[in-house]
Amino acid sequence: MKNPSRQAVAWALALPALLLLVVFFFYPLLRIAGLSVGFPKLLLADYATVFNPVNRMIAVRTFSIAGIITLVTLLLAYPMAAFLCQAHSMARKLAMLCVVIPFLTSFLVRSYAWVVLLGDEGAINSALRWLGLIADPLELLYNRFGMSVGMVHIMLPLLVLPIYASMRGIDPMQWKATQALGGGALRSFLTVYLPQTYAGIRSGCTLVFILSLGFYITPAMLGSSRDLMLGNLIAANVETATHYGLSAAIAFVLLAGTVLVFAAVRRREPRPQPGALARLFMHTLGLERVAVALSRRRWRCSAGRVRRGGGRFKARWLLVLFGVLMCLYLLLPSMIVVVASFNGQDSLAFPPQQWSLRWYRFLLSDEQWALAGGLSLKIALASTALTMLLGTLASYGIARLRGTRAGRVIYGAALAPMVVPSVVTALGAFAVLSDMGLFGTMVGVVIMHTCLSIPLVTVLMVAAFSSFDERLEMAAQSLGASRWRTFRRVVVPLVASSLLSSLLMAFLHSFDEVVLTSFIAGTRMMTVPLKMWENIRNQVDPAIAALSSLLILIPFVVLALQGLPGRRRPRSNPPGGLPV
Amino acid sequence: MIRMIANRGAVALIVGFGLALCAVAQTRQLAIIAGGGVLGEGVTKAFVEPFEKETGIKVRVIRDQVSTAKYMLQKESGNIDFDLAGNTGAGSIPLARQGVLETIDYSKLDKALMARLPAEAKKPWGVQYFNYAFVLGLDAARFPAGKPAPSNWAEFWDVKKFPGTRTLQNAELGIQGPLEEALLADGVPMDKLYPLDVDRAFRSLDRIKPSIRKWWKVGSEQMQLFQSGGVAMGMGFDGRFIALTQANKPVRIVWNQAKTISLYWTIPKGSKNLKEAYEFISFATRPDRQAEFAKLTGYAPANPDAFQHIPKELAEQMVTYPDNSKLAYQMNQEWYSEIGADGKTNADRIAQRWNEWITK
Repeated sequence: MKNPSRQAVAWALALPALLLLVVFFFYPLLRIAGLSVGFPKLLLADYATVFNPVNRMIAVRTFSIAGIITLVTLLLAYPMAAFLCQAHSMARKLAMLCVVIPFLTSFLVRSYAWVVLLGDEGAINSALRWLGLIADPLELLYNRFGMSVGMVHIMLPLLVLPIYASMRGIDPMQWKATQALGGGALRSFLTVYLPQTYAGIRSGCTLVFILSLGFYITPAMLGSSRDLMLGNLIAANVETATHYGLSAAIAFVLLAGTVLVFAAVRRREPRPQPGALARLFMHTLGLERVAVALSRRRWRCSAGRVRRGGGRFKARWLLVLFGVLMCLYLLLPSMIVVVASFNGQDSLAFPPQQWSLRWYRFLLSDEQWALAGGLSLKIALASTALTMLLGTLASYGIARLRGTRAGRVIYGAALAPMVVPSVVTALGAFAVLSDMGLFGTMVGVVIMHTCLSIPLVTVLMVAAFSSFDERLEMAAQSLGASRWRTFRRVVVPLVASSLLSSLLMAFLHSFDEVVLTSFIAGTRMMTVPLKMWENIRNQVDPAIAALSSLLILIPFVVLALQGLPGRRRPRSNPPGGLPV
Repeated sequence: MIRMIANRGAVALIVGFGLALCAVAQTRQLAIIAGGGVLGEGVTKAFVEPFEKETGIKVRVIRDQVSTAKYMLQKESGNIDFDLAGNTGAGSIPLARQGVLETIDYSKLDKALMARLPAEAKKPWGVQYFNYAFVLGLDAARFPAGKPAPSNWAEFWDVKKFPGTRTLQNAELGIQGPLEEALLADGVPMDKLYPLDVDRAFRSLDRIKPSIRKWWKVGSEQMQLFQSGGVAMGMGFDGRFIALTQANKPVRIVWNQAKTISLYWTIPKGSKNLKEAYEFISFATRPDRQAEFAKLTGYAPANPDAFQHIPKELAEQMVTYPDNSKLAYQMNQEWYSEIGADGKTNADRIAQRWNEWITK
């Protein structure tokens, strides 16, 4: 990075994405701050309301629920990752599928499936009663339990994948060595194994915690009315009250809480560096590891193989049993939805009394759904194209700026939309898009989807661009290739599989986005997730189950696409090799 | 490098052009926020489709609930993208006060039809188009006809005499909630409810709170609770209970102490299709259209002439049917939107109090 012109090129490449984010992501956050104090005045009345005893209690509850969800998810995810590590290749592939499918399935669908599963006369209670195990139904839904089951289910893949990735990086010989040196299993685990997975735990947990903070749809659907979250409060305020400032103030408190979490995690970073914001984002973001893990076809793991020979038979079977139960937990909602979709009746009663394809026919012939489908497709294609363009170029720039302060700052900025609760981003976007006359327009929706997808693509592509030797490019150029030609003929083929993964992630993200879209879509932009959300609130018929079943197919298509034979290169760098 | 930038520019141009193509302008049209579920379906079939056929005006139906944000946005941005919305009085009055609703010019509506509407149906900010009610619903499987069953809210509150899982509406939004029901259960007579004694209502709610499984917020939750949630009785929309009965989950409606509430057509100030909006309101007030809507939704018509077109057995299921309406009372939506000394409406105050109470 001594050559200033190379740096200038890198900067120029990162600039378009950066500009987009400044205008449509960072400025809206500033705008919320302004609105919350009635800018240009400085009124603290709305903050006084936010901090009144009731709302303070709701804030405390929001943070404690997010904490509980994170803890429970971690307790389940860690052994699950260990199970994945030690499983045989076929079993591991299947188990990985169980983790990845829910990860790629619409969270609306999954939340909805739990309603069908956990109700007093839902699938689980019906089954238990049929087996004669219980006389009165268990109260599984509309309480902390129901909410936790649903939220943990949504968060689990986000924690399993980074922990799995960090476990995979452990040299199996270390385990052998500690044992040979007389360390008991527990001691070996605590002093050697566990510390090496801290990075994965920390990144996954932070992500889960922050997502849980801003979550409100799942808790509203599955939880008790007592467990009101800050997100609900913002949504309810936007829905009824005419105090925009109050919503902004609540959103700002949520944002401040998120920043505090980052600060706390940062303090625990082993080597804090000046200007290491981006580093922090990356470490706290499990997604890079997730993405890298996802884009690989073979799920390699060496750590477990040694243990398998270790003869700890009972413990291993316990782990396998646990793993199988977790797979069941992860897949159950999807299975139930598929079964419910073939119900011939109007209700979602489970099990269905009569079977039919009626709701599929309805779905395919209904004009409104067709319109929504077309619109969603258009939006997803446009925003994917834009994201791929801006994100890939920016990632290339970031990767080439690695090690510099500027590189870290740009990387941090590109990842920031990931770590701000989406309801906060949504509120800001609502204000700014209205100012610009982009509210309720397709351009507005596409731009905002792009802002939210850029981090996904950046995370994947920066890792990909950093994972090969830059000297390959230099070699090509010294042989007379232009920069563009080098990029096209050398760089792109090297990162082809990551490009495909980014493309799919960006597309899926846009196709599934509901929180942000519901704030900015106005009345014209009825996308599939919005229509689903409207439908779920207003009616309970199997049409939604049929649609969900169709959406569940998407991950399979994605996985099939990723499994296509293509040019694969042997990776020299381990996936954990962070570029900055 | 230059080639690369040029290339990028070209792609951006194509994307931008594609986006521009999607925003196509249209003529002589109308956009209506019709509500979701049964309601949206009813508005579409009974009003919109025949209206389009008769007038040739292209109507865009938005099948979702109206939210204050949708109106307020117009104030913020001056860009309103709908022309008509169904809204309650409690939702509309504060909006009218803030000047975001068009004042209805009754001279532009069909005078003969308007003359048939009762006075309370013709507000300066909106024209009533149907009535519905919050009623006590009983799972018919658990409370078959002829067996003892709760017949008023006091008996609903009596968990010893009538055990079973219960549900009531959530008052998180402040404009609706189980406050009237709580006061009735506590012995307040129907004609002495307003102004609501909020303290007393919450004291009464304290007693029933442990027996409430879920405080529902939207109609689908009400239905889900009865369908697979295992609820034996609860407060809910009359139309949703009828829908449950039609979906093989019979629910008995107790008309005693039913809380009647009305929906009005409101026009956001700045609507670009004012003339068409007035045309639509007149059309939707016709007795035959009102009857059709009632048949589709089970909701009671605003125009009493519609009952001539409604079969008696269906009419008996409606809150404005004389036998039922004499057992029911009108929800006082003006009270909910009255502003107190602190600048807050009663609805604001209820929402705040509710959040405090529910999270305890």
